[in-house]
Amino acid sequence: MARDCRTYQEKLSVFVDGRLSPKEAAAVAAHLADCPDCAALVDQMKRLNEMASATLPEVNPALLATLERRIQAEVDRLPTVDVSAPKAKARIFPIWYRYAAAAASVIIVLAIGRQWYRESGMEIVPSKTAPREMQMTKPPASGPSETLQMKPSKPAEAAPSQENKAVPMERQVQTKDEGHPAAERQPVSLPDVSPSKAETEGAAGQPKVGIPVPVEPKATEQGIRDLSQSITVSSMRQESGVKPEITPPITGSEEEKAKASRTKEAVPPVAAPPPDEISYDKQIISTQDIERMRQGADKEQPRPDVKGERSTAQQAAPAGSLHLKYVEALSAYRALRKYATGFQAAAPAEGDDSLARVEYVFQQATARPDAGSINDRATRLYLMARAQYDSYRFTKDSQAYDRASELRDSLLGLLNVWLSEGDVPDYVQGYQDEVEQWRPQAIPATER
Amino acid sequence: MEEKKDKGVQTRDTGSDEPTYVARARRGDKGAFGMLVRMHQQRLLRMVLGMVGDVDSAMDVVQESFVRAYQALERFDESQPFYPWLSTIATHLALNQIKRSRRETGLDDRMTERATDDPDPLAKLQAEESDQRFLAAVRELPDQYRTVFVLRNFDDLSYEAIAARLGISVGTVDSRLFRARRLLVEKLKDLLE
Repeated sequence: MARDCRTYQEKLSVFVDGRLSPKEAAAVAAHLADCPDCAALVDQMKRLNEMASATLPEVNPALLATLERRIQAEVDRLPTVDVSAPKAKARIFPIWYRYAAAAASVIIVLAIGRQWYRESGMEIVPSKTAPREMQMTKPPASGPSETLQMKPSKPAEAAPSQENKAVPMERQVQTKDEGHPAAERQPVSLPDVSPSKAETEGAAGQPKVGIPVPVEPKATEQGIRDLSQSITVSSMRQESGVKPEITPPITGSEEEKAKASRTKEAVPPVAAPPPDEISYDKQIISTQDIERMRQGADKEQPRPDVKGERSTAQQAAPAGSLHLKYVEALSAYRALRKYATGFQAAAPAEGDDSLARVEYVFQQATARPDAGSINDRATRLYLMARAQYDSYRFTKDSQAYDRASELRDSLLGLLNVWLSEGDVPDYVQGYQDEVEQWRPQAIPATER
Repeated sequence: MEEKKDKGVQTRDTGSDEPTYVARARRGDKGAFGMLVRMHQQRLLRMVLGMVGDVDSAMDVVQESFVRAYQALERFDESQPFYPWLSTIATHLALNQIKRSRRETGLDDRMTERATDDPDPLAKLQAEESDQRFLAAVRELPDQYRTVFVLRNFDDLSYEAIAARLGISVGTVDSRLFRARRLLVEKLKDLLE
């Protein structure tokens, strides 16, 4: 190719569209007069434009009629738009309330993961030397450590930086050989959050047991456990129509803490762990178990639909926004799901009812579909749909697939309603885009 | 210079009644919205088909675009033309569709029907075959090239409008369009000579 051609070729398309300045157009025309190849290319591009204009001059009228009927039927089902009507107040709940509900979602997700851990009979015990690393999972990018952003940002002074001094997994996991008497390991038990119990206690006016977040119960973090409990209580109260409240984390002097703890007598106390050790379940696992789990989880990991979900819009979310909480909840959920899946793959247990657990949570989430703000509902629907979808992927249970599809459609409908409200945050469109891209229906039929 | 600049954006298929229909639809008249559907669906379907490449997906996207538009009518600025707004919604939906679906389904005969007065059935068949080949070639373009080409050649958008809609620079539109056209020329050489 001649040097002149390389100079002009990039301009030929623009030349065909008549977008060059007179001076540039004259230069290209001069080149075309001397270069039959470029002149031929220009001719072909012009023909191409003509072909594009001539192609599909009419769309099949029957197809258009069908399309029109479909659109009209859809529009008829929608609530009538009327800008002249007085607008209802878009937001019923204050913004802090939405944060609380989002945080509750995170806690629910963590509880799901814990249930799976328990079902597989596994436990991770934090190391004395690296207490901060024992946050159930290792991956720093997407693991539950992200959920720790919910905590006050007071780092443990004695603990090494999590990013810079990651302790090998072997050091983080206590093996059976090292021995830890059961009496010394005081597990944080998962409360029964069945509806009947929750309703009974709510009716009695007693605070309910929150779902404990598996954080190290140091003095600086005790308040977080309380916060998580309070948020859960608030979430439940919200559904029962009682004005919610959030108890702030206990901070300050020992006297203030003691005073605060007296006011919270109604909350069943969480067993105090030994000062530098806490276990989250009744069994412990070996390093070989961990390795098997990780291998099992890695097998399930390449999931393109999950991979790309952190959209640009999400990444651009302002720090501390509700949207970021939402992303954190998803990250936590994915990490937990990954490891729970690894556990199941590594040590399949008889009578494993993980799917039943997922269904239970699904029923909980859908039992009161109108509870909470629209953001709460959207977050909940998303997480539940995700759970069903993942259940399908790992169990090939067609009912899970169908439920995932239904939930996704419900979520899209909800997001549409949300987007039709005035003054909608920008990130809502990001939600919609994300859900649009996640489509169980896109799974090839051969995989179903 | 930019002969297509305003051609497709504002005037094609839109009558002087459009603002009236928009205003009525915004005040609860679903029949008026139906008129907007009738006014724009063909053009929109053509554009979306070029982007997503199969009829079923294109119809889904067009349907969803109108539904979204209806739901967001309250936020629509009546002083602006309706189609560019609708087309923007459809573009985003079509791009999402492209991302999530890489199906290799071909165009089918449901879509096209040559509006020709030529009584010669052979000529009609040949013309339809050319259309099919052309559309198949467009469908096989890399997504980013195809999107720019379709918006320019099927939806008659200006370079600036394409750049704004896709969030890219005008220079990028230039280069993608050039590459798209060069690829198409290579594939359709026999038809273009």
